[in-house]
Amino acid sequence: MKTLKGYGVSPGLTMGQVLKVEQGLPPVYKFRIADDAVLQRELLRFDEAIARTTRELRAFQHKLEEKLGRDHSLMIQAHIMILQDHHFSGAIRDYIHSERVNAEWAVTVINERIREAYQKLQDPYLQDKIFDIQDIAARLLNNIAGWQENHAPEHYENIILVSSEVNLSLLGLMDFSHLKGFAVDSGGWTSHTSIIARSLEIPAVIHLKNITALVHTGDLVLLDGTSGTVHIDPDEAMVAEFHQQSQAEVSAVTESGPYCLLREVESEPAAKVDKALRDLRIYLNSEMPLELRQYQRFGVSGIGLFRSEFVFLRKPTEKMALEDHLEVYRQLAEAAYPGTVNIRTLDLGADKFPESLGRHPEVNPALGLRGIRLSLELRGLFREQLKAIVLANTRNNLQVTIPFVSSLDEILAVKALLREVSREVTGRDEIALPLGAMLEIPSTFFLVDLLAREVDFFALGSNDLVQYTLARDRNNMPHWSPFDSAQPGVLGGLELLRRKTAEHKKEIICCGEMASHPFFVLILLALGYRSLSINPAMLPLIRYITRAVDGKSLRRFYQQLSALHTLPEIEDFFLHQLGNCFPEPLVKTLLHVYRAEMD
Amino acid sequence: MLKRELEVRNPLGLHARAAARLVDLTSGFRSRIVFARPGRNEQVDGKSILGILMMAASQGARLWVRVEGPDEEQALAAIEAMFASDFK
Repeated sequence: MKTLKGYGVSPGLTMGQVLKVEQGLPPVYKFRIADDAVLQRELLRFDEAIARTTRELRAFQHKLEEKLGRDHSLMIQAHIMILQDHHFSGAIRDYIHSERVNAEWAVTVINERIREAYQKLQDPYLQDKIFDIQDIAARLLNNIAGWQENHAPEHYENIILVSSEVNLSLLGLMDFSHLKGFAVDSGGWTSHTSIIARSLEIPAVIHLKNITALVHTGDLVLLDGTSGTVHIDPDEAMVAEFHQQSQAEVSAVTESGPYCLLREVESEPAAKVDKALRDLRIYLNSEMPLELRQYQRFGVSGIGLFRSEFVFLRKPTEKMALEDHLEVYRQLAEAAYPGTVNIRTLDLGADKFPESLGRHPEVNPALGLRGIRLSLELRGLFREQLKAIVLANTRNNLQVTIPFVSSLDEILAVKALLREVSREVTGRDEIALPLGAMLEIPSTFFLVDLLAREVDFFALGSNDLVQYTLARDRNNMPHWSPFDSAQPGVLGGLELLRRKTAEHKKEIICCGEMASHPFFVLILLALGYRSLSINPAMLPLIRYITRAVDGKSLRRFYQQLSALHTLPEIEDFFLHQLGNCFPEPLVKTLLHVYRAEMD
Repeated sequence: MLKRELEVRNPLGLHARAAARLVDLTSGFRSRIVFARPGRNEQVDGKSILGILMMAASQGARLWVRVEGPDEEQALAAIEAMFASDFK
């Protein structure tokens, strides 16, 4: 047995078998190849990968034949034939040539075509064959990229995904029902792995440094997302203890996760909330349609942030159709009703999107084509998404949130498009649903007055706002302070946005990680933010906090905090002096949760 | 051009291994070989395993095969023999 220590970023205890993904299932980038010589090289690269894959399969075939006889080895023969089939490798080669794209992209496109053709036939045997073909495609992709072979994962039911970092495209391919945990070499509290893990309520430990070097696919690991520990090959006593603990776990929202100590709080009447916080609204962040009913009894108003990227990542963009959106948004509107849902339109680009839409990778993607900029570039795709949202809004509870707004022009362009789409659907000349802008770029500090005239509400994207204000990458651990969000340079912006949006009487929903953080949610509350959109797993904690603080203590807290100007002072304040402002049980709980998650 | 109706008789149908054997056979001939299921429009390339699998031909399925080329007679005879022997 070996024990590793990292940061727990999504609470809970879990056990399962390692699925090690070296670099993710090869993330598929699309490049357009202009130069003829480069295109020839690409074809050569592809042919070499076919040859290498064939050799691999033949070696595998011989091994099987020796062990099990010819009948079994014929299965592999079938794989080799599929690989060499002119409808497979031939079609891929033609696609590279005619579309002038990289081999990886061509493999994905042809694989998807075959999958669709087979799916249409609805023959159960052929459905299984789809996996074979995808397996061949994955093997081929690995060889194109020159990566190590990944071992087949489909036999495992409880998967602990181990990787250097988890990318979204990989998660888009995963069957979440088998995914029980994440263990990652790098990453941060707000990296995408952490955010997704929390929103899926799957335990996760990050910053394990070298776990990818220490485990193999198939190893048994016990992972504690609360304390941030991972036990490789746990001994019998630990496994027994795990089974005992998971027996005791009850699936109700109030009792899941590590915050069972807070469960009594859930049933406390709203009257316990101080009058300064009476108008507080709590929403949830979500990646996929979420049954809100179980949360509504805890006063949840709706989904404050629905990240629509997953809708996109399930299909290559050129295959996206209106129906793909419509189905998800209808489900979402139903599941949340009578609560509202803010659908954030495509927020890809920067670190999130592997498919670079025929472009070469940007030199500086964080400042490049992402969020609304990308959507306006992909106008057809964006229009379909907007239309699907308007069409799905039969319950009148959907709203649109526009990410990465940096100028008024972008909002005006969105409104023109939305008006057009609304006219098509409703026949009337007005925008059919409320529109909101994400405030996450520092330019919005000076734009918020202008934007307020054009939109119905705002959403605060604190993760990006902190990063862009400080020009500091959240995944850049060596220079990352857990207290960055409380720096004076950041607080000033937050204060200003809160004041301006209040002047215009527009709701501003805090969607970023600050709202789910044991310390930073205090800052938001103290500044007067009254709409929080949080990760479902954090609901008990946030409800507890909002019942334990009052207007007076929040004012005192902010006064003291804003008098501090350096990171060491701020850190000391949160770790040692919160007792000056808040009641002791609250402070103890906050510190406990913070330590459990960040130590 | 020769055309013949064939029946898939083995219990597993034209599954991966049977399809592999069939394609192994058809690929050895120079003639163009096309399969089709009666009532379906699509014809599949008899030298493509993906095409053969696409027919989803289970036990009892009837197929048309069309063979055209310099060695069409030998090809058809061999294909018939393979169907008759349940793809052994």
